[in-house]
Amino acid sequence: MVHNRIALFRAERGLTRKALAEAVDVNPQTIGFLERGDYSPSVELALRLAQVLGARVEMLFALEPFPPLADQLGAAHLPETP
Amino acid sequence: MILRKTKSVTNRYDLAISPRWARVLSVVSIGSLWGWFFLKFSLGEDSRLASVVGLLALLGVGGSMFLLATQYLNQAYGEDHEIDERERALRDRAHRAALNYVLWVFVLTYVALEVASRAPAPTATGLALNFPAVIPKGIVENFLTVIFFTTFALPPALLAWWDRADADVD
Repeated sequence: MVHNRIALFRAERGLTRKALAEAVDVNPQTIGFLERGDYSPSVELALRLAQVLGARVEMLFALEPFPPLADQLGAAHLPETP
Repeated sequence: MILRKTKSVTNRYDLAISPRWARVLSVVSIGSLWGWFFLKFSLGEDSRLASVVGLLALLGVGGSMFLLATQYLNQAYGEDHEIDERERALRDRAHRAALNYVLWVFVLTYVALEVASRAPAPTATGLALNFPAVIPKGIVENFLTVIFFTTFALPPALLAWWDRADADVD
């Protein structure tokens, strides 16, 4: 199974599913299937999504589940220990 | 019911109905066609129920045609460039299922014919199978009509059953 962050990046870019679907030339329902993880895209579609969302493919898709965003942000802002 | 653009990448306009109504329509039309065939086969031409049997035929053929006028026609019979990669995968899955359906109908029909032809005479068992020794042309025509319409309607019907549009409200 391929995990993805399409919904996160789409929300951050302020795009609706319909707008993203039109940008990558698919049915808006397909975006819903992708976001729920019900469908794994082809390499071509993954690259087009990454291009439209302004992210690298490996930022959008991974074979392992992505860590929660809150954990990542927390780790990034931890004060350095002497 | 509205006419709407069903694909973001095509300019096709089809009758857009909800997946729920398409599912109901698919069950009614395919069920009616098989019901019509079996009732006509069992009751014969001169039955008092001829009008009911005729109504089933109308429901079956009309329902199938209506289903084929909806957005699922484009998904089921669209060219590669008219649908996206996920829809192409679903379309191919629906057509494989339709092929399996036809193969099973022919296998079961063959088995039924073999069983009926080898069954003991009704006088010996007290059981009448009502199966003619020579199958009349009308029954064969009805059978082919059912196969034609149900096989044609099956891919869009399956796509309606697999549709998750309700979960995609944005």
